[in-house]
Order: sequence, then structure tokens, then C-alpha cells
Amino acid sequence: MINEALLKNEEQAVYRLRSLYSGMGYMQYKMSKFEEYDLYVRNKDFLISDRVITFTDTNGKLLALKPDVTLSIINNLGKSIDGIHKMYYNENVYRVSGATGRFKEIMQTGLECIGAIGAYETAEVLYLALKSLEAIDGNFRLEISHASLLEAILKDNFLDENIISDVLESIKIKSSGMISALLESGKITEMQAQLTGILCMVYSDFDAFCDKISCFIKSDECKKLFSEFSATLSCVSNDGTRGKIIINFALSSEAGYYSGIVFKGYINGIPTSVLSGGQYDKLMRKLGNQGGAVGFAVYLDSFERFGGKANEYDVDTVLLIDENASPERVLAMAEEIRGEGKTVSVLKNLPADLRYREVIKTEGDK
Amino acid sequence: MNYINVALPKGRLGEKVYDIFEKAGFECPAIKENNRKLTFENPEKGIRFFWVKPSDVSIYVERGAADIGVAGKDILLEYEPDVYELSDLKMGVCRMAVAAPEGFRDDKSKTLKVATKFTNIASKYYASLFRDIDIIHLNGSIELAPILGLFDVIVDIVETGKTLLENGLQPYETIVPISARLIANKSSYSFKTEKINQIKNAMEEYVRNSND
Repeated sequence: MINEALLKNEEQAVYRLRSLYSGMGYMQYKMSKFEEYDLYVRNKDFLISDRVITFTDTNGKLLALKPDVTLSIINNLGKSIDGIHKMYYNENVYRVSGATGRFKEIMQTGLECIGAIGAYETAEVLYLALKSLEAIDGNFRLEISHASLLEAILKDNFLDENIISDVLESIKIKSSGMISALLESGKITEMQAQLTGILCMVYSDFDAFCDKISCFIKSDECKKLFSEFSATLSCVSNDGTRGKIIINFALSSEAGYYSGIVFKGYINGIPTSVLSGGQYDKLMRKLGNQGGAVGFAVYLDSFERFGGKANEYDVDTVLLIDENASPERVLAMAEEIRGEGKTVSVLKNLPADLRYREVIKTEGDK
Repeated sequence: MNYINVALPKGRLGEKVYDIFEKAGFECPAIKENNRKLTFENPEKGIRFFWVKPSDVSIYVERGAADIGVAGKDILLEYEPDVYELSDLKMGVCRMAVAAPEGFRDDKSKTLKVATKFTNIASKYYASLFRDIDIIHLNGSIELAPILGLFDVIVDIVETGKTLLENGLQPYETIVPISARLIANKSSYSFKTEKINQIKNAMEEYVRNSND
């Protein structure tokens, strides 16, 4: 029986998430730490950072310490995928930390659903993303967007394609200043500014979002995508998730490889997203694969300092022994103390900086 | 009590920014007391301010130590923090510009030597022009660089242009307009949307009315 209280935050998360994913039939996928560097060079737009740790293998091949898991999984599954593959992973990746600018080993767990995916599989992955956040902490937000829907809305309402990158940038950073500047310079109309303003906001109420956006949904393609988005959201929306699922189009505007839903998860008290994913059919096409793919990653390194109280003590009991102590007797004493549910450290001297509840001294064989 | 934590830039701009917060209804009178404290809170309004080095505001916001803050567009363009840029407060208005000695002529057959504190902005600007440059990071008195023959041009913030003129330089090209921006941590925005938007809207209304 695992005593979760002894596990660190990230270890608890791995344990709970593994139970969740395997409980839904996802198989664990174990992969090599190394991948051919060429894979990342060809797909650097998909990576969070294009800086990668490389080395030359004994056979002269240039390899990389994995900066990403998804690319490896798709690459290793091959170009023709039969049926649907559902897998989860716990892997370490090696990326440049945005905060320090240095390479860092990052513990990551996540899952991928790859192959002939449809509406159900997309809903299932979104459901598992939601459950993953719930498993970590009840005070979470899951922000959701849809890459193709955003593209279709902009196509329906902006005739000048040259202006779309500026509009996407203003949505990405939620800049009302940028929208005003585009309007004042005559690059967009009042209606277009209004639409951009709507897409900059976030919505916990889907009906409120529908009311605002409906007059901008014009083409059949856009209506179809909107209906898809609405159907996916309704699968995961219930009383328990009220106020926790947020529509936020800032996500789609930075999603180069995503073709459908895009989502990020936040936990209150952690300043960065802890979960990130979406449907990335475009990446599959780029790698020569006709199937679809949807998945997400959970960044376990962000939990290290989250919640919980710092331990008041390093160890419950210090068992101080001398040179004459009988090892057999001391081990028996230590076992007895552990049997009381306490932690014990057997030492000859008491370190100045060790924090302990009690000290038990033995003398000789006593 | 769920506070909104606000990182204000130390100095004249920060004091002007605080005035906007105050006039928009998010006052914290203790901040005006003459002492060396760095944090101030108003429990009634649920707001906490702290003074921060201007170039550090975006770091505090990005890392979640502050929910919102005010930073110059120059800092946002240079360091590209992962934050939302909610509003242009239209304060601290100036521009990022290329400046050069009077009579400077860009010889495109040679690598242009550029001195600047803003290496990211300068690199991207000249990359967009497909211009080959040799760039060096200086931390201050950038105007000295071309005068001493160290470099051809500088990329720096220009307000009135007086400092440049006094040192025999003149603005040559404007790269981008700069002003103070209200920024927000993305996670904070997700959990404190209503309160942050309330502050944003109140500040925007005040700025609009001031400019009318």
C-alpha cells in the first residue's frame, strides 16, 4: 500500500495520473532517451525551444537528448497506422528553461491518441485532461480553443489576408491597444475591431460566447467547425466543471501544428500552465502520416513547490549509537521504531543542522 | 483575501502609473508615505502594490509574483515575456530608433556596426531588412559609441531627441513606438479575470477621458 504522504508532489501526480490513464485503457509507452537530431531540425516549429542537446553516437550518427515526446511517438509508430493507438508516458525531456536560459531536465507525463480518431477520441482526451487537472488539485482552469475554427472565423471576416497576422498577434496577447492602433490606421473596420475584441476576451459561459460570436460565423465550413467545437465542449461541461472550463482564443493563435481543439491547464498558485495539448493532425501530415492525433503533456516540474507545508523535521527519531553497539540489536531497535510509523536515522553523532523530534541514545548493547 | 498583486516600476513613470490606479478607484494611500517600504496593500480594495526595478516588472508578472504590472513596450519587445499585454496606457511615450552622427550614410557593402542595450530588438529589426550587422551590447551612455568611432549607429529609446542632438547624433529611422503597457500573468488572468478586467477597463476609461 503506497503512503502518498511520503511522495513528493510530482511523484503523487505521476501515481494518480498513471491510475487515471491506464484505467481508461491507455498503455504505457517507454521510449529511448535519444532520438536522431534530424527529426527535431525538420520540425523545430513544433518544439517549445529549437535548442537541443546533441551528441555523436559511436556509429557517427548525430543524436539528441529528447526535447519532446510527441514527435518521437509519431516517428516511431511509422507512416501507416492501423486503427487507434492510445498510449501514455512518463519521460524526462531536455529543454532550455525560459526562466534561466539554461538546459534543464523536465519530468513530463502525458498521453497521445493516434490513428483513425474521431469526435469520441477528441472528447475522451479532453475529458482526461480535465480529470488530470482534478487529480492534481480541485482549483484549476482548463482553457480551450479551436485552431481551425479561429482560422475560419478570420477568413469569413477579413478579406485582406495580410492583416490577419497582426490580428492574430493582438488576440494572442489580448492587446486592446493593438486593436485600437489597427482601427485608427484604417487597416481594420469597426466591425472587424469588434470581432477581434470578442476573440480577445475569455468566456466561462459558452452561451454568452455564442451570443457575441454568432453574427460573425458565416460560411458553411465555419458553422460546421463551430458545431464541432460546441459538441466537444458539451461532452465535458457539467455542474462540476462550471466556471472551470474557459474559452480562450489566445491559445489557437500560437498553435502552428494544431488543427482542432487546443487547450492549456492551470492550477491556482502555479504561475505557468501545467498541462498543454490539442489535436495536431497538421504535424501528422508533415511527418507523412494520414491519421489524426490528439494528446497532451503534463509538466511535473511545475509542482515541485506547489502547496503542502514544508517538513518541520528531517526525521522523527535519531537513534544515537556508540562504537560498542551491536549491529543486530540496533537494527532491531530501528525496525521497532519504524513499526511505530516513525522515520529513524541511526547515527554516531548528532549533526548541528538536523531537525528531529526525539533522540534515543543507546549505550553499548542497550 | 484574494489580492491582486501589482508590480509598479520604480521612478517617475511608476508614480504616474500609480496616480492612474488611484484615480481609477484602486487607491492605496500608504504608498505615498515617505518611507523605504516596497510593498503596500489596501485590504478594502483587495489590491497590493510593490515597487520593482522597471526592467524587472515583466519578470515578476511572468513568474506570478505579481498578477499584473506596468512595463514599457521596449522591455516587452526585448525580453518577450510570456504575458498578456492588456492595455496601452499611453504614458512614457517615446520611440525605439536608430540614431547616427549627422551626415551618416549607410554603406551597404559593409557590415553595419550597431551599439545598443536592446540587442533582441535591434537584431530582429535589421533581420527584417536583410541587413548584416555586428551588434554589441552596451548598458549605458550608448550615445558615446559612434562619437568614439566604436560603432556606426546606435539603437536606443528616443524621447525628445535632445540628448542625441547634444552629442552630435540625430534620429535616423524609427523602429517602433514605445509606451507603458498594462501586462498580466496568464495563469492569474485565468483565475482573477473579472477583477483584472475591472482594473483594466477602469484604467482605460481614465486614460481615454484624460486624452479627450
